[in-house]
Amino acid sequence: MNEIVETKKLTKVYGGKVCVDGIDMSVEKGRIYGLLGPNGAGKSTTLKMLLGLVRPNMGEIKIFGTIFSPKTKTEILKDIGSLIESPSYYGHLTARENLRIYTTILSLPEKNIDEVLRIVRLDGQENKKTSAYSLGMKQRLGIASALLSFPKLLILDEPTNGLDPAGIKEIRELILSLPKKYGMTVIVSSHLLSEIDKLADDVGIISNGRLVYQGSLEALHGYDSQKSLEEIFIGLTGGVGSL
Amino acid sequence: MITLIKCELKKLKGRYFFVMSAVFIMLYLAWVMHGYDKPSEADLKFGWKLLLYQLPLINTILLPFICSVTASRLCETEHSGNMLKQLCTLTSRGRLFDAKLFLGILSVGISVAVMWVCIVMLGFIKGFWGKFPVDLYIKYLIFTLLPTFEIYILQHSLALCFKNQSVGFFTGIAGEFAGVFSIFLQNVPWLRKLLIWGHYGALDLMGMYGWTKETKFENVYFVTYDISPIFIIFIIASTVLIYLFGRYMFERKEL
Repeated sequence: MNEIVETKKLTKVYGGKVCVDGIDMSVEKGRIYGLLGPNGAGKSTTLKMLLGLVRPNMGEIKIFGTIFSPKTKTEILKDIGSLIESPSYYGHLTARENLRIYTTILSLPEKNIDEVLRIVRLDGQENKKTSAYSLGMKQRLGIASALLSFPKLLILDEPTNGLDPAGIKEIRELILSLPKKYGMTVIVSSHLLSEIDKLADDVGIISNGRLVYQGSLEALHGYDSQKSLEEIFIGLTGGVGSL
Repeated sequence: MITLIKCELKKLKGRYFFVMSAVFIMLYLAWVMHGYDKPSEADLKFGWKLLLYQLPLINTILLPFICSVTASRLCETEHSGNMLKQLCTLTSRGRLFDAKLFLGILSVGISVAVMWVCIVMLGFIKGFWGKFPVDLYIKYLIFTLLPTFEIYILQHSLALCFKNQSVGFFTGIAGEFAGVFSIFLQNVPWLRKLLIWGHYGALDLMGMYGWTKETKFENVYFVTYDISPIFIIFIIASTVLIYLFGRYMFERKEL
């Protein structure tokens, strides 16, 4: 089995509006899969369905070769780390205390906290209340909590949102290192083509809830030799959204 | 489950949660004791029974408010920190619901028990006449805890399911008014049985008759009410139903 995540005809309808429309997604082990699409295309909803935070109206999700269902959900989620939309934290607690909540629930050793704090470069800042953190620090804390169990699959929804260029570069380098260092598979979503171009091995492009392209980044570059990557993206998405 | 309860306790750090509970207890006792500041002879003579007659109304006014604020204080931190999205990927939603509920129930339960002990002490300190009616006061404690748990579970469900905490708060306030209203509507006894906030009144153990403005306590007599076991079963069943429905709604909630 080389596919870590597989979805078939995954569909989500909100109040009569189809937000995710029959997505067949396939993520291979040890790869960085970039989910690219304009704002409101259905990226976050798709990722939330993979995490069981949103129930699909139709379709099937298979993760680690097991069909995702209420019965298998808890077992599957043990091997997934995630950061969805904005980082989660208890503002009245320090970073270490926040991470201790996760390690207590997951029965993980304290040394994991030190390790992830070092990885996201928050060591030295861990005893500050997180309400006093900058957005970039909160984002890094969110990634730290996703990494805490060193999961097989990491799902990051727009992880560089709100970061300055140096912060974006830092997070990008961190994500790029994860498959090699820890054997993780990463799904990362973004509405920025340039970001996915620098990060991903494989790309899925979502537009209006539909997966309009799926394949390797190399194949996307060679999709139309006459056009730039931007023009290819605009052609695929019908010119919707930002780059 | 124990792990999750431990986590809940860790989350309370710096939230002054127990200070809040202590303030509620003091507020409640201040209200009750205010009436016995300078007790009259009638207050002392009828003290034990008079308290049982007066307390259900005070409970209807104060305890739903305490439940609403306690539930909100425990659950609001998950919404403001955007934490539910994370927690629901780490553990089952049902267990999360139960762990938080356990802590809340324990907190309001202990508060009610402390209030009860203080009220009994008040009676002894003030020197109420006659023998302390142990059986009636134990019944009173149970009949105060039952509606409190029932209301708390509802408030807990609302606080956890709705990001906007005013939903739970206004439900609590509206219910409280309806509960007080139902106590005064003596001709419509079914109303207080139907409304969960009216259950303090419906489980009233003591009736007072013969009091008028002119004669005051001169012709007063007290009647001890028997509470139907069927009604108690109804309250327990309604509590279980509220719990199951709240838990189900939280499990179904899309984040």
